[in-house]
Amino acid sequence: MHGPHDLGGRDGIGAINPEFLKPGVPDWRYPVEGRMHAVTAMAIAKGAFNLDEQRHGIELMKWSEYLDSTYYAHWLFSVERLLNDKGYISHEEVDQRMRELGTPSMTPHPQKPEKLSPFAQQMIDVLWKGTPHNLPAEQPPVFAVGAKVVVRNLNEATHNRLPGYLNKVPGVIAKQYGAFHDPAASAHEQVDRPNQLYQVRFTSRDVWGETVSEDFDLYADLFESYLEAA
Amino acid sequence: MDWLSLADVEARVNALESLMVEKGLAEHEAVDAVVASFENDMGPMNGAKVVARAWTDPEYKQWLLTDATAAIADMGFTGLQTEHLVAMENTDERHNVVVCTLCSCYPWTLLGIPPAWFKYPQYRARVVKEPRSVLAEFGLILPDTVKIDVWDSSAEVRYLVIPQRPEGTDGMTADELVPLISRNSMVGTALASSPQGT
Repeated sequence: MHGPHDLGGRDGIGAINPEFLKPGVPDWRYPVEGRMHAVTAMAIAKGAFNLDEQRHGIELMKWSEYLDSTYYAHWLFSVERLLNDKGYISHEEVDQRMRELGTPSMTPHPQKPEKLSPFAQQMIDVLWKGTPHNLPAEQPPVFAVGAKVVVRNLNEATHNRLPGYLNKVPGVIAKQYGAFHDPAASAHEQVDRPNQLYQVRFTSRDVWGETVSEDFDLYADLFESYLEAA
Repeated sequence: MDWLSLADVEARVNALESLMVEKGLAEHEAVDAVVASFENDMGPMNGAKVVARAWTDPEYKQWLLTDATAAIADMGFTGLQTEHLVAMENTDERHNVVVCTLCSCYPWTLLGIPPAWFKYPQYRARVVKEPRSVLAEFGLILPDTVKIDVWDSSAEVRYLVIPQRPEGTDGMTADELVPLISRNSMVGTALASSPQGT
């Protein structure tokens, strides 16, 4: 969907915050960030929702809130909405618990506990094993390396991984990755459906037009269902 | 729901974690363990080891360029959000820069958690349209003879830039080269440092 996250090429978003460019800024600047990240990973590991649902949830934020909030507020919005809608924890329960707990005191840079519970060990194992997303393909890839393609004019209001700035743009297949699970099927149906994935090369002129600032090449990873032969 | 300020987000996440623990979706100490793992065990020191090995071992560099997923697995760096990897080398003619315009996809095991500038809207909107001027905001001015390739990580494949090995590093071992390879140089918003620090 062309939600507030679909930012490639948008004007008026502004300059990079110079605070972010200072040396020595930690990647998690506040303890809440690491904790939100960790509980999201845990909810996914426990099967409450999947990563594609979590990404899609962020895309449903109000544009003004998406652009004005701190980054992990996006994760909070999505995770809280999913847990509410799936019946795990309601928004009202969170409101109530906030009133009970008052101002939080989160430890920055926690130590790894001496003894890891089975669940903690499971989470560490997931960090180092990952969750591969490739699948056996039912059909071979349609497009060969070097094939000329054009991105379809896809404007569905549901989840996909097609940056809107690539709609209708001609490109060339640079790599075949094999099939990966389709993000839309995962987000909306919670199923693993294979979709052939390609690395596609575009020129800056084809993407942005003749007034583009300079000639450069741009690569994006796009599913077969987003492409057609040129 | 007035929740956008950092203080409000902290209060809400605190409440959410408390409830998730009660409902069996999380454990407090496991949260500490995961945070500690990200902060201590995942980070650009891992990516720097991969790059330093590529600089000092031509066979490994070829492997990294043709099958980065297998090449980093060889060093034990496969993991969450780094299950599928492509590595691109900077040359005298080409400079690579990586973005995730749709969110913040990033190779966690190799580079750690993405920095704020990578995750917030401004970089994501502009680097796919005016990369040279965005790199200049990072203090990276490339000669006109260097062409830029921009990589939008729109699916589950992650990208690692292999910066050029700096001048004046002949004879240095991989371990000695590691400190020259910054996180930003592996995303494409900086070059690797020379031994004199210039």
